Amino acid sequence: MNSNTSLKAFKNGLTTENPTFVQLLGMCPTLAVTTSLINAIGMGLSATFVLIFSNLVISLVRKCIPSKIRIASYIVIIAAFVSIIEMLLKAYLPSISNALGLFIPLITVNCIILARAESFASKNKPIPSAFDGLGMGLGFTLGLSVLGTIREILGAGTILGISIFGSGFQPALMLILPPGAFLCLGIILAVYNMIKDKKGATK
Amino acid sequence: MDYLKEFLSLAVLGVLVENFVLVKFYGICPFLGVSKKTNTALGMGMAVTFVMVLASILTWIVQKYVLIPLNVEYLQTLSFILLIAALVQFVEMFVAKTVPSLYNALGIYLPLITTNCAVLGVTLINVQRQYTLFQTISFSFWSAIGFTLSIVLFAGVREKLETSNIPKYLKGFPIALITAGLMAMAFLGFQGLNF
Amino acid sequence: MSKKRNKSYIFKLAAILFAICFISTLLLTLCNYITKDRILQLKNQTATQAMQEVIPNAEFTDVNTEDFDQETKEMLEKNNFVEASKAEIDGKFAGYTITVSPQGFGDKINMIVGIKPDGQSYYAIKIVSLAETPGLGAKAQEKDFYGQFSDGKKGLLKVVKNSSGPSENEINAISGATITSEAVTLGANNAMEIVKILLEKEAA
Repeated sequence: MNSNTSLKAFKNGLTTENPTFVQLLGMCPTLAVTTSLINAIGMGLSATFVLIFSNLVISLVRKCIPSKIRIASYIVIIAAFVSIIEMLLKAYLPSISNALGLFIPLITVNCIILARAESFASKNKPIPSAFDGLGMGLGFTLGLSVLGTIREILGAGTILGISIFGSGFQPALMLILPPGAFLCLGIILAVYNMIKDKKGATK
Repeated sequence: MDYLKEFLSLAVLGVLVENFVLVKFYGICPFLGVSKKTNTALGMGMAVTFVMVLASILTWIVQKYVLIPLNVEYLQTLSFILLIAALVQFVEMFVAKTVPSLYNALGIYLPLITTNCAVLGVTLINVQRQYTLFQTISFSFWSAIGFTLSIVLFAGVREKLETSNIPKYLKGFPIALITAGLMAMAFLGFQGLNF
Repeated sequence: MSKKRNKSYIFKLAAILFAICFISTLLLTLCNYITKDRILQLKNQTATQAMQEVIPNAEFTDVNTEDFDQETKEMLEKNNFVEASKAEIDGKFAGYTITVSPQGFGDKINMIVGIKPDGQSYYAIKIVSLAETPGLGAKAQEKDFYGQFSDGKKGLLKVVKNSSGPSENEINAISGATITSEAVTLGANNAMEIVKILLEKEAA
């Protein structure tokens, strides 16, 4: 039973409740840091780390926190883990820390994390909660990576910094500029809706 | 005179060049979430402006007189978000007791503001750029105005979209994002302006 | 709910919240203790590395500008001054690295300029950070552009467009990013002015 809920929680985040494509949560980093795939992965994994631990801890202490102060308590716990990952990135992966800049501390106010704390971790046992965090985090990373890959290939002509089209290719700069983020995500969502619709029709 | 000049140059920076939503991507959640009607968008914008200016002043004081002297800058994120959460709660109670009409207009947006990254974002930027108190107040005020401007404009466009004929799969968020993309393109034109 | 119970309830809430904050702070202090030295070391390392790239094999000592008179300080500030280091190779004076931050298209450009002891010619420049438009102004970070500021250049520089053979005081602009090109060139010129001031101070 326990492993079942864990697995289900994990899968949920990746597919049916994918934070980026289905729930449209955490849009600020989704749009801001996806100028390249490596940034997208860095952001996604940092958020995953925070999600797993905040979900785990919140689930552990869920019974001692009166509902009146729960949001404040969750925010403090989340902020603590965010600060930890911020320090760790600064010390061990300075290039990622530089590229993501202010969006690392802003993970604190990423709606996904608080939403999961409120809707899942505060009602479930620690292990499923951690898996829910992992699933949601990886789902978020997946969403960011898709956007990051498309924007990097079309907007800069590279993937993970390696040029793939040769020097003759003139990349569509617009895609790595702010408007490109909105346009690209809009079109991805439209395609996602279309696929979902077609799938539903054949079933 | 110097103050006026600074105030105006931060206005250009905050509203146009570094528009929080369309250039910097802070506060996208309310931008997409609370922008179906111009009225609600305006209400949200005003509530954000109020909280952003107050939060900036408080965090500036905390940074300068608590975190730096005690050499505990690593507690920045934690203390700032706690301060913002407490401030939002306090403002909510205060406004409810003293100006009920304002509370009726803004009340529902207040709890959403704690997790608006524009608020935490502006406080961190102020500290990072080592703004003076005056600059902090002006920059956060104008950034909030920039936020309000873009969310109200966006709501205006979305109201019109409601009645237009949109391809099936673009309905809802996809078309909203594409619209935002076109607005961002317009704001891209302000890049490089400075006084 | 009676008033008394209400009070103790609020007290309980405060205590719980305080406990959570306290534990979080403790955790962060521990984490800070572990990572702080490494972060500082990394920061110094990148700074020295950047300077080494500009003037290879040199040793650097910071120039103390705190004791300069007000007029000189203002002059430095006008030239977008951030910091200066004196370079020595095998114990012999080998010029200066000057960090300047001219205003670019997006934000200030942070760059290091290496100036030879004659105060007239360049070693190289290194762009530490910029916030220019990707694909246009950001090309200042490519060798095609910054590589122009090297041995061959002398004196104050100016920006030209599409010159097939720029002369010793000309820099070819990045196409589509004149403002960025001008800003970086201004930075280099600023550094030269600053070295002039520093050399005068040294002689006095």
